[in-house]
Amino acid sequence: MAGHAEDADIIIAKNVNKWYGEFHALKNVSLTVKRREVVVIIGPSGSGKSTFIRTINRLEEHQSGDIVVDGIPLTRDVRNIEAIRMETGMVFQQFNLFPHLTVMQNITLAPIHVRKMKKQEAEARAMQLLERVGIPEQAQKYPGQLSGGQQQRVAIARALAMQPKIMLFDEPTSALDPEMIREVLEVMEELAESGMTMVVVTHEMGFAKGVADRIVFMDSGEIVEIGTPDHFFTNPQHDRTKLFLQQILK
Amino acid sequence: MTSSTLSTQRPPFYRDTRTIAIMLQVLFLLVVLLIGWFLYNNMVTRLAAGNTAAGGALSWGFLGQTAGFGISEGPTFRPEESYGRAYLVGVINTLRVGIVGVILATVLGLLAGIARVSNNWLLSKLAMVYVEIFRSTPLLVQLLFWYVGVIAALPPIQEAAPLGDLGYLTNRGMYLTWIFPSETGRALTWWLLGGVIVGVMVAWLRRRQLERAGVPGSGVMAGFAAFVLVLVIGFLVALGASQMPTTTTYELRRGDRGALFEDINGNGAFDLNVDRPLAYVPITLYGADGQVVASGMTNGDGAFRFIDLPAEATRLEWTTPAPLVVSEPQRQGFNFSGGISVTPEFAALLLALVVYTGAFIAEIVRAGINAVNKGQWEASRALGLSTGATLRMVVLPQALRVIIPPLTSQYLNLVKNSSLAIAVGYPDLFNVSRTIVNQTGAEVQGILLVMATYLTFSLITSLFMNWYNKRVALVER
Repeated sequence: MAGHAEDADIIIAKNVNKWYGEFHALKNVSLTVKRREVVVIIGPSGSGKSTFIRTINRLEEHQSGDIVVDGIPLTRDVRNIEAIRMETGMVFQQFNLFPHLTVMQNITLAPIHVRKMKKQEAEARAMQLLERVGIPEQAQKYPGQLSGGQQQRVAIARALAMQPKIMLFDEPTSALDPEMIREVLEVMEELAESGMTMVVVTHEMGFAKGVADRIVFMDSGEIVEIGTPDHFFTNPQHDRTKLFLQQILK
Repeated sequence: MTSSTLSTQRPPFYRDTRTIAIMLQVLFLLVVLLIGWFLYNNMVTRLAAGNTAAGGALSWGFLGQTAGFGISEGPTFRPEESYGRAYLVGVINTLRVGIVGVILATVLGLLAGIARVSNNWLLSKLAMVYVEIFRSTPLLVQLLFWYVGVIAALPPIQEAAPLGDLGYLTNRGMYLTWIFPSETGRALTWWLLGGVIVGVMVAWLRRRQLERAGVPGSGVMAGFAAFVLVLVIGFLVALGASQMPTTTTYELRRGDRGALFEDINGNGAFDLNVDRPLAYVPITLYGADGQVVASGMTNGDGAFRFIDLPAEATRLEWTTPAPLVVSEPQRQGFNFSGGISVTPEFAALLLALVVYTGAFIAEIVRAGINAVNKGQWEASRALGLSTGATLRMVVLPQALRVIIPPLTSQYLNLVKNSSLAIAVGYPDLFNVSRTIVNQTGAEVQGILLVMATYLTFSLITSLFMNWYNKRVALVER
């Protein structure tokens, strides 16, 4: 293992601030994620959860504060940004599969063109990943021919194909029909058990309770409270957390 | 009661929605036919009253008559050939400028459209200025600008400096080094045609085979490989069989010009339409004292001409050329010989059409790129693909769906706008048709012919683009 890989902390965010014009979207957000840890971020809509997770791989640029991912400081340097993007996989609310490519091509595109993997090797690995997410028979179909749950599982396989050290999930089940949420959560649970470092923005409290090592509650661009699931759900400290929990657990 | 007044019986025909729909259409058709008949009748009456060289009403006999005028460029045309052939030369000239124009306008439009959406401020603004200037001024004005303002301002032939080995740029046109099939490579044209047919067939078969196997992909690579293979075989066959005709003869006039030809009727003199000229054959001229006075190559018509020879030539020798020869333009007095020449008219028309249409295509490309969901960029960038790779492999293939239908319109516009050729005197089909009409008086026939030709071009283009659009459509369900 390389020197920095020994560090326990794989994501370090310190005093991260972001403005959209006048709007202060992230206010001094600081969070450290350890290797193999599963961190779930919850909070009301507009609280900055998605914005924060998207600053980690520079889909959003932050204006002040420091972010270090696996020892690589996130600067304006293109090489650093691309190195961090290769280390982090991302799963989106709207899946964002490439509709003009088959499932197989969706998964092998980045390994072939970014990691310069041989096509056959990439396809063999893609088949393994499709088996892992439970839909190997869909390999030659196009995204438009799959259900929402199947599409999101392909999106997870696509992110995993780059062999990332961290997986970021931005509300992965919010766009799904209720009967399909389960199949996606099961894949995520299996991934968490395998020891993947995960940062998950979600409204699935069941998943947060069962899988998270720590839960982060954000509101109005700030981290209000961080705690273990037990602590968080049974004994929240802040009034805002209590109010939020009351509203969703009614 | 309402229910009792509305019957469930079959309604009378004037209230039946089905008969109403049919009756309205029949009525519409009748009106159209009536107007059409009136216009046609009117025209025929007027034509019968008039007295034109074209003969009676809507006679097409004039197409077989001798044209009596020359055409400045395009396929070889002599005044003693017919009006029909003159028109065909015009059609080919339109296709020449149209096909080259469509290809170049697509490349220019694509580059400018991408530049327009790029994050590079300067590049994007430059593209914007280009688009706004050329989209907002009339094409005819631009055409005259290129013709009078740019090409006429190039140096005259006597002062033209060579562009390396490429050729010359002058105010009388561009003269470029080019590769031609020579006398021994005549069959290569057929091999080229055969290569295209074989290539298309192989591409089609390969695609079917891939579809059967359930593997997505295109047969373009396989088709291209087959095309190249056929061409290489053709070249090797031509090379192996290269031989000059046994009855090769030459004519030498005034000691410096003449023609090399296959003497088919064996009378030792060159007879037009009987003997066959020999193109691009290396020749050497000898003087009376046996000294070499000049050497060079025959041109595409088998003719040759040298200027300022040290002595008059009396004898000529030729050698067997390779199937393909490189011909460089060489200054000969007030002109160039050899190579390929592009006239100022063609260059101005091509430039104007490409730059003008390119501006519209740039806007279409920009709209297409913007139509692709932002999430596609994000997903691709999150996977570590660069901006260029994202554009090439993720965004543009999807933008194509939005781009193709308006792009088809631009292709049609370019071909139709090429009729402005008449403003600079490029002999396209419209220009030639006007000359024909002026000489024969076959006004109506001329216009009908021109309209039918453009319509044919447009329909073929549309069919092809619709087919392509279906191919790139997304698979759903």
